[in-house]
This record gives sequence, C-alpha cells and structure tokens, in this order.
Amino acid sequence: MTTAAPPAPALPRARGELSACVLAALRDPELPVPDLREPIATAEPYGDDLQLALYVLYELHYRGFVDVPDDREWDVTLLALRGLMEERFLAALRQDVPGGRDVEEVFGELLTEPADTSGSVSHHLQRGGDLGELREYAAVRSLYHLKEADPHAWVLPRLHGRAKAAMAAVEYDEFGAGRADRVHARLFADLMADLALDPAYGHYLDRAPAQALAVVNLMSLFGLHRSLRGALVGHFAWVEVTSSPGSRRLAEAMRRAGAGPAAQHFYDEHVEADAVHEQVVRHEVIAGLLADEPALAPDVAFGADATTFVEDRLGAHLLSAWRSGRSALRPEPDEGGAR
Amino acid sequence: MPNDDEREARTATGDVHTAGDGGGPGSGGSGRRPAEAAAAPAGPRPGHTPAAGGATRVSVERGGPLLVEGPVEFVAEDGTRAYSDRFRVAVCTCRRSRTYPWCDTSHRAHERPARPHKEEQ
Ligand SMILES: [Fe+2]
Ligand SMILES: [Fe+2]
Repeated sequence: MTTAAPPAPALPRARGELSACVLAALRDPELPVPDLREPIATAEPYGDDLQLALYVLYELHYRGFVDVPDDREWDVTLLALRGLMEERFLAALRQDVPGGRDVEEVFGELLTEPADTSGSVSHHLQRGGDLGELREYAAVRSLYHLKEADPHAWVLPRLHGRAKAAMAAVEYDEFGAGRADRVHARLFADLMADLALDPAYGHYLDRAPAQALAVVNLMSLFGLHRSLRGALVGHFAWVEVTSSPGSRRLAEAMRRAGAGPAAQHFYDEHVEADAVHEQVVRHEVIAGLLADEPALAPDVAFGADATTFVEDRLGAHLLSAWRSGRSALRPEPDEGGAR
Repeated sequence: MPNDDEREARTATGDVHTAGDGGGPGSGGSGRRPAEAAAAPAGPRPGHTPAAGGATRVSVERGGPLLVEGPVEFVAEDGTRAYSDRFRVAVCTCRRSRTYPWCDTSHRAHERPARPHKEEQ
C-alpha cells in the first residue's frame, strides 16, 4: 500500500528581523538577502527570533514547507545564514554548559533519580497536572515527537561497527520495528488525537515558545554536523536515559486526567522501550563510538549537558507559566494578522 | 560506563525462552515451532549480532536488568507468560519494576551518592 506524502506545513509567523528575513527569502527566491552578520552577532541566542529562523532553516532538511521548493534546502545563501546562526547558538551553549566533565560523571548523575523534583515537569504533571496542562505539554512536545528519532538517523553514516549496529537497532525500534502503525511519531499523533489536539505535522509551530524551539534545534544542529557526532550521541543517550522514568510519570498523569488509551500508550511504550534503549545506547553506541574515537568523549559529555541545559530552560518556562495560571503557549494568531 | 565489562552468558535454555513460540502480540517470529527454531536459527535481526553457534546473547549491567536478544517469552514461577518481540528485551532483576517482568528503570538509585557512578566499579 502506498500513501501520498503528508502535506508540508505552512510557514510560521515571523518573530523579529532574522526570522522575517528568512521567511521572506523562502517566499521569494529572487529577493536579495541582506547582510545579517551584525544582527545575528547581537541576537539573543536562545530568543524567539534566532531560534525560529534556525528552526525554519532546519525544517528544510525534514519536510520543508508548503509552496517552498524542495531544493531550497541546499540554497547556499540560506546555508550561509544558517551557519552564522548556528555559530551564535553553539557558542552560547559552549559558554553556558559546564565543560571538562567526563562521560561517567554526566551519566552517573542522569542515572540517579534526584531528591529535589520541584523543577521537573513530569513530576509536576504526575502530581496534579490537569488536562489543560497535559494538552499544552503535548502541543509543545509535538515539535519533536512528530519527527521523533529523525534527527538522530543522520548520525548513522558517521558511526561504525558496534556503535552503528546498535544505533540502527534503536532507530529501527523508534521507527516501529517495520510496522507503520508502531512508528513512535505515529503513536504521538495518536496521542494528540486523544487529547483533541491537531496532529498535523508542524501545526503548533506558531504556538511554541523559544525554549521548545531550542530543544529541537539542538538535535538538528548535532544531527546535521558530522563534526558534532559525539554531541549527537551524548544528546541521544540523554533522551533515552531520562525517558523511561519520566514516561512512567506522564503515563500516570494521562491515566489520571482521563486521557484516552492512545495517550497512555505512547508513554507506556516509552517506559518499556527506553529501559532497553538506554542500556543499548550507553553500552554499545557510546562505548562503541568511544572505542573507535576516544577523543570524542568531551563532545559526548557536552551533548548530554547541553540537552540538560535546554530542557531545563523549557521546564522552567512551562512550570512558571502554569504555576502563575498562564498558558505556556504563545497566543493564537489573531484572525486579521498577516501570515 | 563506556568501559564495556558487562558479564555475558550464552544460554540455550533457562527461564528466559527466546524462541518466538509464545502467544504474545502477533508479529515477528510467532508461530514457529521451537524445534524448527533450533534447526533453523532466525535470520539476522537488527541489533542481533550472531553469537557462537547461534546462541542468544544475554548481557547484564550490575544492579540493572538482564538484556536478552528478543523476541523473549518469559515464564514466571506460577506459569504466567509474558512476551516481547523487541530486538532486545530488558528483564527486571530487582523485582521493583511496575511493569515486571520488564525493566522500567526502578532499580536506579534515588539519591545522589557521593560517587555518582555506581553501576560499575
Ligand atoms: Fe521513542
Ligand atoms: Fe527510545
């Protein structure tokens, strides 16, 4: 059976000068792109404008946008722009993430359930998240989960032997182990439908705060650069190591809030799958990579610590919004607003 | 952690059965008779590194689950069976899992120990 390719999402609304320039360039290939070196150098590296501009440029490598020709993915002007924004983002991360840590130290911490859970979104939702918060959480997370495991597939040609075999095996599981109805991104779309959210790819991009864009941009950055393969592996291990206990709490939250069976199933599946994946990723992907390329150990640690950093910023944003009774999403586009 | 000193065992039989003869959620491997399975070992699956003599690879991390090449049929003391067709299956050894017999990472330490990395020496 063949199915038509799902429709690409619409371009989002601009959030400032950089994203406006990128969106204008995508709408009109003839439009000259201004010199953006100065505004990029002074842009807030984790702010809405730079993160959205980067997100849109990265999206050209995934599914693109409706009415944007597929070959703009390799438009050298856009790639140069992306390179400048990536430099800004990566330099900020290198500065904000603790350096010099070793892989054992980083993962030893991640493998220990912390005593203080006040900053943990999954603990918050388990303890009393209502359906409204769960829906917002799923909308924000849909940016990643609807392309779940996609950015990590880019690392495969850059791994060898044991690391490659194990990474491919975990990815095979993420992609449904040969069955379309078990693809994790599909399970998440089913969860969204259960929560009465729109499961269309990219639907919530305009509503996603900068902190959520940064989480996805981090994996696209690591995935698209061979020079960051160690960081990609460290990042992926972070996701797998932290997923199982968090998913158990989220499954409970979904059950308690009366979300449907698909919503519960997505997290139940991740409790079991990621208890396996984290073992395979640590003992075979990381160990295999570092056996081949021991010099990448600092990058593996950096990839994991950078993930902690961007995830903590997203968690703080969600919790502060909810604790003060606000929505964690950006406002709906108003009817009259130009797109 | 990346030092790979997992203890490994190769088993032909035992409490963890690895032929797909169980009545689990029907997919890969089910319906095969154990005898045929022994005569014609399953073809390579992703993540399945054929071990000596086609044996099933089992590895363990100290304090963590048994990692077994799937599919796995788990037979409990009372005869109840659980089935998983994942490429690897993490079998709980600490008995704290809420999804027993499968690992749910409940074995993990809950406080920050003085030396954080404790699952290997
Ligand atoms: Fe997954
Ligand atoms: Fe996973």
